[in-house]
Amino acid sequence: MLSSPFYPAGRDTWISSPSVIAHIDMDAFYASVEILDFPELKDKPVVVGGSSNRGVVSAASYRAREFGVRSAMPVFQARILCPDIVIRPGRMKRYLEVSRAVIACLQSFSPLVEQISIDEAYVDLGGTGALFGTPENTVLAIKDKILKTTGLTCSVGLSTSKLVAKIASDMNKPAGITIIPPSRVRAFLDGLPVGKIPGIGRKNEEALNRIGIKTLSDIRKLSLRFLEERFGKFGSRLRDISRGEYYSPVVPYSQPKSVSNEVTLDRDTDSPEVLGGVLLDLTEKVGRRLRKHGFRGRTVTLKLKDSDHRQITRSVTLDRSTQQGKRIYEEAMKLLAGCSLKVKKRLIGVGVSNLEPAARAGQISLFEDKIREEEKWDRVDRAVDDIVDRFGSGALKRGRLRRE
Amino acid sequence: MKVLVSLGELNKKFNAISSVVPGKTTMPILSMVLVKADKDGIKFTATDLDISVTSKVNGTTEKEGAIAAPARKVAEIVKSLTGDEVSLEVDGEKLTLKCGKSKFVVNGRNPDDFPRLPQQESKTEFSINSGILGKLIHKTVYAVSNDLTRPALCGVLWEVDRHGLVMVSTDGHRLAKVELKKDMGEVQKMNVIIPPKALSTFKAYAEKDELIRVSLGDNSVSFEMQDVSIYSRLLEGPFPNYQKVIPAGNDKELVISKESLAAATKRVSILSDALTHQVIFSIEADKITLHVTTQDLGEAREEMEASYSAAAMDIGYNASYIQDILKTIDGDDIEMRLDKPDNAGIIMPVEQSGDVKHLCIVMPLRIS
Repeated sequence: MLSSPFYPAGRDTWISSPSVIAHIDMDAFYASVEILDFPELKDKPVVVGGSSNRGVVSAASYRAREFGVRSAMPVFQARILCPDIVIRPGRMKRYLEVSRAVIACLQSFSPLVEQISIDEAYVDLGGTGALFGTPENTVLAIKDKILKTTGLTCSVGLSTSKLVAKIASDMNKPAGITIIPPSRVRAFLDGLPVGKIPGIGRKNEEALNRIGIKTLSDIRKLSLRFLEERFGKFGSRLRDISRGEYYSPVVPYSQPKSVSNEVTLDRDTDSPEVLGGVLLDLTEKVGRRLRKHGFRGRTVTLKLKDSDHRQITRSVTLDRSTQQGKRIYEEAMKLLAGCSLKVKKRLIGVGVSNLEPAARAGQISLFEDKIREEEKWDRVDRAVDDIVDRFGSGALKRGRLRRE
Repeated sequence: MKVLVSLGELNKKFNAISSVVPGKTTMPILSMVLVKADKDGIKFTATDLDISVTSKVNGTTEKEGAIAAPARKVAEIVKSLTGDEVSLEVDGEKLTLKCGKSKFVVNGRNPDDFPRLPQQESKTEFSINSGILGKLIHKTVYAVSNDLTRPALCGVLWEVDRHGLVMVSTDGHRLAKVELKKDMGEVQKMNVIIPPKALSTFKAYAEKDELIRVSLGDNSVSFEMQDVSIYSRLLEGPFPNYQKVIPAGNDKELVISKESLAAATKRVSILSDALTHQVIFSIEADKITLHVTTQDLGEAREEMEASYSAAAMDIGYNASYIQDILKTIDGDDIEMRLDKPDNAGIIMPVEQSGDVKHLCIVMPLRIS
């Protein structure tokens, strides 16, 4: 099971390391859940994604990947690569349920679990030695427990920092454990291409390659001054990364930066009526999620994708943060009115960012005016949320949506 | 222009005026201080277009003239100098500072570019002791709103007539009101809303007990002190009808030592929620218990004696609102006049001091 070429030959000590971090990455998560729930799909090329040709692949099983199918690829392209491909519509509710079970497993090993997406998390294993033995044994136990509890495999990276653990977990997918002990971190990083570093995109990678910087060991040779001139603040972080000295803590809960929702339309359209109708639905959903997680946001962003895949975004920052679908809708409609609809749109989305916790909850106001008016709408929203929670999202919709 | 100013005077006045200069601005001229010497003496002026402050500087004028000089750089230079006297000399758009063996030539701007706020005619004026005015400001300015969508709440309402001056501020969750009973002389009745920056700038300059002159216009207010004059735009109203929200029927009276309530609130709020600052006041016969329970943090409680005889109840408050209020109330004991746990509570000093009547209102938190 310990298939990593980096697995240490002898006993290695973690004592010298300031932290011991595991990165857990579920293998082909959505697709694996589908196969788990529908065993007849086993060994078949499965993707989860939009069922029409217009959607994109959100996850591809390993069998599907053998045909070159990848996430974010349009479904029609996946069909060309693999005509027998099984396309499943996503069942987000079920994936969330499994995801929660995985996180619960992790939390039984350490209180410091940072979930970074539905299928990925960091676990801080510092100080768990007395309970679970060496970090190597602990990650074996974690992987085992996840398999027993959920029936799914994951890949694990274990090292001295989040960054190295994350890069490591990707080395032996699926179902692999890659361990980079403190003594090997430098050597491991030295050989890594710069493009592997989160935060270095393709453009930066190409630019660095052009001046002969290909690996992290090349970066280490650069002066801090050069890095800061080239990358600004990120420069000093880059230097720390290249030395294996970039340690960011595992934060058990991190505040979301934005809440958004988008949809690929059934048919490309240039009708403001149709787009407005879709927006009403999307903004209601975004408002609901803001309220559910206790946030208010100040910036509303509208995203449109043309039929030729050209994407534009338009945003507006409000004077006062909101968590009301109605208000988000009004702003998104204003943004939409400012966009040219000469080219038909294939995708529309709306997001709210610049979030702050909805703190004033419970604070009663002095005046019967605008704020009270807003509080009234807040109460309407809460009542709607209640009904939708109990009876599903089709139970109650705004007048305009109902007609369609 | 050529003037001689003692280093101490220059340091003090330039520093003070620099505080008016906006930190970030799209208009570079606003980052300048207007330095001017004429027959009235030497003056520094700074503005952010909402407020303008002119400060007189003691010194000797050898030659009249003016320049707009970069505030931050000149303040930094002046702070770094050692010596007794500084000469400031203007040649075109350059300001030369000389002190001892140091010499700086700073690039400035044409003084005519420096914005002049439209001086409007005042409609009414009155004189008042700066110490008293400062106190009234202290008791109100903290409660202004910072919600820019409700501009009227972002300032302090002043109501002046022949019999006195009333100041009110509120952010929609709490309200502060002071009422000064005083013969104001021949004053025209006026209501204005003054931005907090004008008031805090006034407080920063008005340390001495001096008689100052306040002029009110339709769109502006000015404070004339001996050495400093402050001019500010007013905020647009209307201010909400605050009288309507001052509860008249609150008949549950609680009296408690201000210091011990403030100290206990501060202590228990250590464990209060970082956002709501919720502290629950459990009030019963002759006793008040403050308690805080915050998930993930823990709980705190503290009991205090109080004089109270009405029905027992639990009320939630934002601890910082309570602390803000207690900091501004005079005297040893405070009186809370309460109604129901969801209704406005009044907090005021048990003994009103002299001609000033002080009253605060705080809205509770719905206890979840």
